[in-house]
Amino acid sequence: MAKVVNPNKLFRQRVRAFGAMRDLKQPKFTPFVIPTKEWAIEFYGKHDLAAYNYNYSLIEKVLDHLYDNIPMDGLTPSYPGAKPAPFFDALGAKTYKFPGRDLDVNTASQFPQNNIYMEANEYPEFIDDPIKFFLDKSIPRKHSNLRESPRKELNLIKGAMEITRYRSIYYSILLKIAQKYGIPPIFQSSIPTGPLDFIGDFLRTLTQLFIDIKRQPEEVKAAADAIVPILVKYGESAFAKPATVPAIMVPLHVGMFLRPKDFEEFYWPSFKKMAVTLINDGFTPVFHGESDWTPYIEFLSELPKGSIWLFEKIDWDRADEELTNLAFGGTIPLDLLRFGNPEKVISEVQSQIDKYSPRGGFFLCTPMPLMSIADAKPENVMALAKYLFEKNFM
Amino acid sequence: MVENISKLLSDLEENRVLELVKELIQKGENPNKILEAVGNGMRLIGERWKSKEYFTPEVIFGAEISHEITEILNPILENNINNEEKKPIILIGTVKGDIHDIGKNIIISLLRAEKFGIYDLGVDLPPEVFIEKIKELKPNILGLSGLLTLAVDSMKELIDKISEEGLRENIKIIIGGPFLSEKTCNYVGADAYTNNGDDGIEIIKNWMVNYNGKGC
Ligand code: B12
Repeated sequence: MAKVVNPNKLFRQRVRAFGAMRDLKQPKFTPFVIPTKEWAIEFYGKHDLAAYNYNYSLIEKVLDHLYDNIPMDGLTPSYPGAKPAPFFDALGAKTYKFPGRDLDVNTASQFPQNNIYMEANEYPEFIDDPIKFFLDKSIPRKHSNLRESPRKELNLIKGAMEITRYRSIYYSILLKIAQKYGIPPIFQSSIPTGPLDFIGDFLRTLTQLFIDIKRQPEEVKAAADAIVPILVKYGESAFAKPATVPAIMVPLHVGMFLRPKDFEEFYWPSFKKMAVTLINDGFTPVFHGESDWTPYIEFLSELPKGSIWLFEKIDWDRADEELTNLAFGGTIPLDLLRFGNPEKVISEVQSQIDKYSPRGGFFLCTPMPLMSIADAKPENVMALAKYLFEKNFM
Repeated sequence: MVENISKLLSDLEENRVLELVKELIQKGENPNKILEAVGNGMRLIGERWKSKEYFTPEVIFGAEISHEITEILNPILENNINNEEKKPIILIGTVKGDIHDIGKNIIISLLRAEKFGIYDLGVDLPPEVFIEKIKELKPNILGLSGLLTLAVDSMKELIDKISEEGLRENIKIIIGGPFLSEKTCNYVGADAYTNNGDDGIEIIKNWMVNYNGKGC
């Protein structure tokens, strides 16, 4: 079905639509994407999850099968994600658990936060020089193969080579998909997470971070501030040359734990600095606001134009009205895809288009990535994609 | 004096409440009275959380302070065990494939204040672990937490196994997580579901008194 239309033309139309959507102008059609990591692998159904950890080229068949059946307007991250298991093996990191290595061959990878990589009394040291702290403290603590020279340097090279090998295979697959289906790979760059989130996710654990906020508030704020330039640099360095939509994905999952007054004090200043810098530097941050962002709508309305938001949950009508400075998506409920039927899915999504497309800054997406195949009936997703494709391109 | 513990705890005045506890112990206060005041303090925190004055971090910090107090009390309590009457038992855990535990831990902290016997099984639990514990402890209530969408199928698998083992009749099952719905509740075969802690705690308390038919 996708093949009748010229892929080059599709590619250009899609990139243009994302650009217009970000700029809050009327795109020719409402862009449609659903992140489908593990789901796509089950949908293809030939191998267990673990197979994809080590055999990087296997993912080509999965993506080909996915986009042949489910045309989307942008390519979202696919399994195993930014960094594959062999990279972590080389560095000796146990921060993630992988199917086949630490888990059953079909269990999705996990990120359990049960280790602390920065002690409560080490905040000043971190704030003083975060990079030095990574090199001397948190990286060796996290990676058993990065502790003493010269093995440390050798293992680092091994890890870097693994990442390069993975990316070159992965990017060549993305290129093939782009050429065959005209789907732009615009959601492939990322920053691990927001500034305060980073302190929780990678140094302290979320639970400890919440306790730190009570016990050593000033240090927590200073630490979040200190990490901003590093995160910005990390995200921006992925682009060698300017792109039409230089999107940088950033998942956020700490701000919405905080009371609005704590959000204002602990989360917003460093986050806003990061967002504004990315936008001013000409990039397009795509923030995934996990959980409910309704209590923070007022803050979000302060952002300059230029960011895209995937909200897991928000009062959509208020967002539509009050967030005239940003583009958003995330309205397709998973229960609809899981329990609904094609007619229901199409009619509900069409009514969302009718309702929110007039704002320009709107795209169609689920509030979260699909994980197991049961999350969304394939026939529902296929019917929806086919409906939108025919409506937009035929 | 002992009552001040509840107030200071619910105000999250860590240093002041710890000092007061130490002072009271010196004066020979009954450690069980102190524990009771801690329970009341957590209950106050629960109320402030329910009214949205407090969010998750405040409950976590309250639980942390309570934990510090019990650490201080433990050595004294050991020679002071009073044979409590049999408590209703609640077994709680996060299902297979899922490691999210912040919501589960909040529920546990708040239910502890209600003097139920709570067993926290942890996270990413295969059905066998639940089944074994159900056989051993014969709980009245089973609480399952799940935040990943795949947790729905883990819950179904578990509840099916509980039925196969003939254990379903004697146990009420509540599932909790942000995206669960009546549909998922029926699908997995639980008795009730909740997307937020206060409803969840209400349902559990009601079940403890008498089951009022609320659920899915
Ligand atoms: C914080 C968080 C994390 C933390 C978890 C830290 C921890 N120790 O738990 C970290 C960063 C480690 C994490 C990791 C991951 N996460 Co996460 N995470 C979240 C987030 C943002 C909030 C969860 C939370 O703690 N909420 C706060 C608590 C207080 O609320 P709650 O859990 O809902 O609990 C309340 C009620 O539900 C209820 N309740 C809960 N359990 C129970 C049980 C009983 C018995 C009762 C009565 C009530 C009850 O009462 C609680 C109090 O009100 C959610 C988004 C969301 N909407 O939940 C994503 C989310 C669940 N994560 C998600 C993902 C994808 C992941 C990862 C796979 C990401 C990755 N690639 O690494 C990993 C791995 C997880 C795994 N394999 O298990 C996705 C799931 C998508 C999907 N399709 O399933 C979500 C939905 C985010 C998103 N929008 O994409 N995550």
